[in-house]
This record gives sequence, structure tokens and C-alpha cells, in this order.
Amino acid sequence: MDNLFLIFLSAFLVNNIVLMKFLGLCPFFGVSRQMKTATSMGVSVIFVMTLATVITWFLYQYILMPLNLIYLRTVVFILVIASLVQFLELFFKKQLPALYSALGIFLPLITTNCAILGVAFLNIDNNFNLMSGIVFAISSSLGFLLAIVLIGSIRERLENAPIPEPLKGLPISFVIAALMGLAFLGFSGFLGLSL
Amino acid sequence: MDGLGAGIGFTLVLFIMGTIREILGQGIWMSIPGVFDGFKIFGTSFTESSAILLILPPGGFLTIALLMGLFNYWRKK
Repeated sequence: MDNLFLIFLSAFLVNNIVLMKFLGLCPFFGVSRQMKTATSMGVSVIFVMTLATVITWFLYQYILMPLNLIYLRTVVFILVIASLVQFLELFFKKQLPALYSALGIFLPLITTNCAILGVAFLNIDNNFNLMSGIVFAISSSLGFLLAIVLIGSIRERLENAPIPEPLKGLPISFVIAALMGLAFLGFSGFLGLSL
Repeated sequence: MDGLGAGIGFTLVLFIMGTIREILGQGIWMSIPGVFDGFKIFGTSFTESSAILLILPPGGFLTIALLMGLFNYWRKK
């Protein structure tokens, strides 16, 4: 129980997947211009990441390991993630067409979101069991949601801010991400957790 | 050909970023851990109080932000 809480804090704050590990940066900068798209991207990442981690964990433990097919894991994992995203895309197209057009290309791009594949791999590299894996995936994706919502709200306020001409648009977002990363660095050492 | 160009551009940007972060952050250049210690660019007085920020993750964001700003500035000029 204690251990699960530490995994949660570590993945959520200390080793935040976007700000500390540079995973999943393209949706982070791509759809964070408005709060609404940022939030829905975060929620869809929670959905895909949790399911993908659980499914890939089972595939890895019960199919790839016994059959000695570990070298195939990249292909297998990408296939799992791609089919999950296909499912999500169909759902959005049918139920939430407005959101579907707002997310645009970034919805199918969840397929190659390195955060999701990265978490599936980290889960296996850390030898997590199923429960820790689920907690790890949920807290990582919550960390992604937190980061994307924070940067979305800051970028909305930046619309009217006086920014030097060459820094307008993407560069200022990187500066914000750097400052957020600095703020999150403050969490390292928290409860003995390190980077 | 387009892919080749993008790849070379990516390599260049990575090279520039790595150079900036390594020289300012550690005072050495082109070091490979365990293989080669790297060229000493600055003396020990610098390496003892170097900009650790640039080695840490936020430094990467900051470096690329400033690089992009610089390129935008040159393009407009």
C-alpha cells in the first residue's frame, strides 16, 4: 500500500512524464492552445494509457515471455495502442463530432504518442506487477493531464500578454514548459523520491 | 530527399543544443561517459559552479525555446 502511494507520487509529480522525461511532447504543445481541447486530450490519454498498459502487461507476461518473443515487443505494443486509438477515434467521431474536429490530427497521433509506449515499456523495465503497473499508468497519465491543463490555462492567458516578437507562439510555450519543469523540480527529494 | 533534409536538420539542431548544454552546464565538450573525458573548454573554477540548470530537464526546454526565438529573429531580419 505504502509502495503504491510512492509509485503514484513519483509518476505524478516527481518524475512527471512530460516535464521530466520529455515524453509525449507533440500533443503537449500541439493541442494546449485552448483549455477544452487540452483537457479532452488529457482524458483520452488517461483512457488509452491505462488500457494499453494493462493489455501490454498481460501480453508480455503470458505470451511474449513464455514464447521467448521479447524482441517483438515494440511491434506488438504499437499494434495494441493503434487499435485502442482506432476505437477511441470511432467513438469520438460518432459521439462528440465537435471535439473530433477540434483535436484534428492529434487524435490519431496518440498512436505514436511516445508517452504511452514509454509507460508500457517503463512498466516492464521496472518489473512492476499488475497492480503497481495500473497505478503507475494512471498516475503517469494524471501527470500528463495536470501538465497539459496547466500549460493550456497559461497559454490562454498569454493571448493578450506582450511577448517579444520572435518568441511568439511555440518558443514562449517552451519557456513556460521550462519554468513549469523548474517548479516540478522542487518536488524531487520529496519523501525520499529522486529523479 | 525531403526526409534526408529533415534528418540532417534534426541532427544539426541536436548538435547545437547538445553543444550549448554541455559546454555551459559542465564546461566540457564531446564527452562520452566511460570512454572519453571530453575537451576542457573552461577551467576548474567554472566546472565547480557551472549552470546545472542546463543539464536538468528544464534546461532542454529553455535551450530550444531560445534557439527557436533566435531563428525566428534571423528569419524576420
